[in-house]
Amino acid sequence: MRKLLVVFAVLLAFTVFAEEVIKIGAIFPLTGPAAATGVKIKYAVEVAQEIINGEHPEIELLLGKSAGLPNLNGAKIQFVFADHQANPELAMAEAERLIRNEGVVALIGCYHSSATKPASQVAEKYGIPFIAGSSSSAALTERGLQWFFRIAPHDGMETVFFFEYLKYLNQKYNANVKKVAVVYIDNEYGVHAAQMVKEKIKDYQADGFSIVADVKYPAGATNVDIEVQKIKGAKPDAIFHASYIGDMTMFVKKYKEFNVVPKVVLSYCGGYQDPQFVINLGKDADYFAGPNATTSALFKKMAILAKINEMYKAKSGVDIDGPTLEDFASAIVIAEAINLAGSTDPQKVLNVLKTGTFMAPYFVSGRIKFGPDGQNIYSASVMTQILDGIYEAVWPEQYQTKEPVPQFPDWNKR
Amino acid sequence: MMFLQVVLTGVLVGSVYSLVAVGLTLVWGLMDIINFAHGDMMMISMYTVFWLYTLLKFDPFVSLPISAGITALLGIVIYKLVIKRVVNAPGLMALLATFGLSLFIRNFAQFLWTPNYRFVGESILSGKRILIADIVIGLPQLIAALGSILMTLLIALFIKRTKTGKAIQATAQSRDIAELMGVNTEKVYAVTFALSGICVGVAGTLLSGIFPVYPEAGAMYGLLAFVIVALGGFGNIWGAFYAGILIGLTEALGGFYLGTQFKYALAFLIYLLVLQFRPKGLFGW
Amino acid sequence: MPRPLLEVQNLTMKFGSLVANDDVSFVVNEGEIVSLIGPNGAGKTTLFNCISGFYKPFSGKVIFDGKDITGKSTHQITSMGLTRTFQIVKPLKDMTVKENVLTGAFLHANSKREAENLTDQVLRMTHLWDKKDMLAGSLTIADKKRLEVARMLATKPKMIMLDEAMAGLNKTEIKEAMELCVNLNKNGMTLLIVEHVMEAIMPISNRVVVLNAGRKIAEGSPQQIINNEEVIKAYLGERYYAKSRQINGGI
Repeated sequence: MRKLLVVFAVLLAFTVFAEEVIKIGAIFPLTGPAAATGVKIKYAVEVAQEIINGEHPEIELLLGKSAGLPNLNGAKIQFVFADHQANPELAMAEAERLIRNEGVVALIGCYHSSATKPASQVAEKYGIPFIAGSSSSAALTERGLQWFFRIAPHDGMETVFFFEYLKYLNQKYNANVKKVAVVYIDNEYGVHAAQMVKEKIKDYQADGFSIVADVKYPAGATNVDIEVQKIKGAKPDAIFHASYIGDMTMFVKKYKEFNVVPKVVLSYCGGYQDPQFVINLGKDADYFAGPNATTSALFKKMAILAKINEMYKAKSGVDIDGPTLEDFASAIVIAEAINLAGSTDPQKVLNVLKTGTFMAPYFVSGRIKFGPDGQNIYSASVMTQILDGIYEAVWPEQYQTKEPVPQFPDWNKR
Repeated sequence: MMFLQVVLTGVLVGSVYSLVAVGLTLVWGLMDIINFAHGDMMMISMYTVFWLYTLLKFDPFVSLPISAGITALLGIVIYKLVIKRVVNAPGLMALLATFGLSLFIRNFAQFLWTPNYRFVGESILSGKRILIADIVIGLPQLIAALGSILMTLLIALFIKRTKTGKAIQATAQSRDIAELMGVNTEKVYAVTFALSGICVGVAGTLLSGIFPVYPEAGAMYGLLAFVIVALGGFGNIWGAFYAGILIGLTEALGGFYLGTQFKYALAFLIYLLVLQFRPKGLFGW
Repeated sequence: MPRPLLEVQNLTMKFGSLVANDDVSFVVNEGEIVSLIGPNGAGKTTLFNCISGFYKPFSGKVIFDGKDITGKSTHQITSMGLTRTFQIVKPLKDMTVKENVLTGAFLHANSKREAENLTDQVLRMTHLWDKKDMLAGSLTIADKKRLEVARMLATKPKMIMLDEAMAGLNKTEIKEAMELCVNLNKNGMTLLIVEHVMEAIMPISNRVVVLNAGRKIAEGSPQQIINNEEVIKAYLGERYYAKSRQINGGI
């Protein structure tokens, strides 16, 4: 009995004198089919935690300078990780658990839009903020939720980005890109992207753009021969692709076989951005382009990015990539919001998130601000093009690491 | 010209479908077993080719005998461990057993090799093509089709002409009688499963380089094989062959003229229509 | 000195709690024609199935040509020289008559040529030669039964078991079948025949074994069996037997 009292006293002492720790839930696919990606995101979030909690004056972030959150007496942030295994039900359950049992004051996650959806619904129910970094489904910000925020651009913004880039090519290089073909996989991702193209192109008709082919193909297709034959027949100047790595690779091989030579190929977040793309296709991957939140080519142009990458690479062994950077951003932003609010009170943090502008010098766009629907109004992406096997940043100009090649060469001239 | 190109695509793609279907129809016709894991055996052969290529730099053609051998063995193992127990059980049992087997193989492949999409990068055929007027014939596709046709022919000859082939024929018609004729029907079953494995092993190898290698790679081929077998008549090798070409053409022509998103829906539609009017399949059984 | 070719020793076969064969024992000597009779449901076909490897007996032994074949698979038993026909004919319908027989010939033949020769021989012996290229499914019942026998013979058996082979045949066909049995037997074949057509088998059998309700109730020469009380009771029922005794001025 006496022993028990002593233990109890010691524990009490710990809780009373312990430093204040602010817990934030982080739900990602740490095991299961997307584990490779989920684990990398975990490393990035851990890097964010280190920057926030430690003194890193060399990293010019608001919270880098001092240890912990300055407005809360140096309170430390602890990201509590949970694994959803690419299972939406699990994501939902973990969100509940983190809020009720762990007492987290906010949530970030989940990479998979299908997991982000239910998890953020739980956050909404409990009235705590949820920031999604990399989940890109447009539907997420169309739900009318109050507590949900998202950093990555959605496909509507990407589509505008595509058209602006084409305009740039036309203006600067006389590329004369007018006819657009949309090629997309038959699922929510592809279909929604295609819808966005049809919607946004209306604003660009004055610039001469038109859709000459709409090619939807089934998931798991055994071949894309017919699709490519149709595309070839339409003779597009630009092809917009919403495809994953497997189908994208097949398309590229078929383009080569059938000698389809468009001027530009732009890809939504999917196969093009997958590192397997260059591995699978070698030289044939060159000249394809698409948006990315970051690329290793930018490290030499953006010092802060390089420093963050250094810390990240030390943990993961690889350079940081776009989606991972977006989730890193979500970790930084939520901590900054709590700090600016001067409290963990959800309503106060919410107000900061809704009204504030957050500096994001690691993004090409430089900042993050959330619109009324929770969507980051600044597109975090930079247009990249694969040149000599490297994702070079080609637009906007001030972040160019190489000039874009506005026209595909013939296949046999690579 | 476009039409010819589309038809050609249909025939080339359909030939490979045929080979996969032939493997399935052999087993279905002989043992009345619906092997849901058929497509997944093909996936295993694709991974075999991929790893031999990545680790030992083997060209897929060099790997052909090895990957076919491995899937043949896999067929025998599947027969002995799973199929044997459900051969005489009510129909649903066999379905459930092979369905479960399919899930197991896919998940195991994902566990071992991750769900990432791989490609066999460079083989002696990759990137090459034949140009006749305006028509493009990819060499990998052509060889895949020719190889599939050759393999189908070999299987048909084997069944018709060899002693084992006759034993298979007899067992297919009556297991009891075959036993009374001194045929070791247990061995016949195992051999047939091995043949089924060889079919998908060869098909998978021929497809490597054209098709991504990932745990679900066999899914669509397996599914189409069911349709083709039903169309061609269970156990009917040439039926499966022609039906495969038919499905390939349906996919190509339907996809091109009606819409690529309907490619497979059309194939299934044809299947439903044929079953309405000729339930035993186009060529009976 | 008669040598036992087939020995059934204390064979019992159960399906759950239903006992189909109860401790049955008998012997068929080399060169004999033995008939196995009994009312429907006596367990005759079950016994055949146990002997020929289609069922594994619950207990007991089956010894053929000195070797224990209990529980062996059918194809092994066939290759050792023991085979059977079925009550319901099962031709391989989609093959020709010749192909049907050829399947069996392959068992012991060393080459295709040898198998074909054997097939031709057998076809002639069973009067199926002219029909050799017909599809087996299109034959008459009588011819289908001939085909069963032909297929069997192609496997070069030492002993054959016929399961109600004469059912459905007319008088002429029955006579032919009897002749065939006798001829085969003259050439050294041992036969075990299950039959209901008594006039056909009694004249040609060396011995008769009688089963009733799973048990062997009698064994002896045809003459002995006809007059056996138990046998008559089994076929005609207790009451009728009693009545017939009364009428004959029995008790």
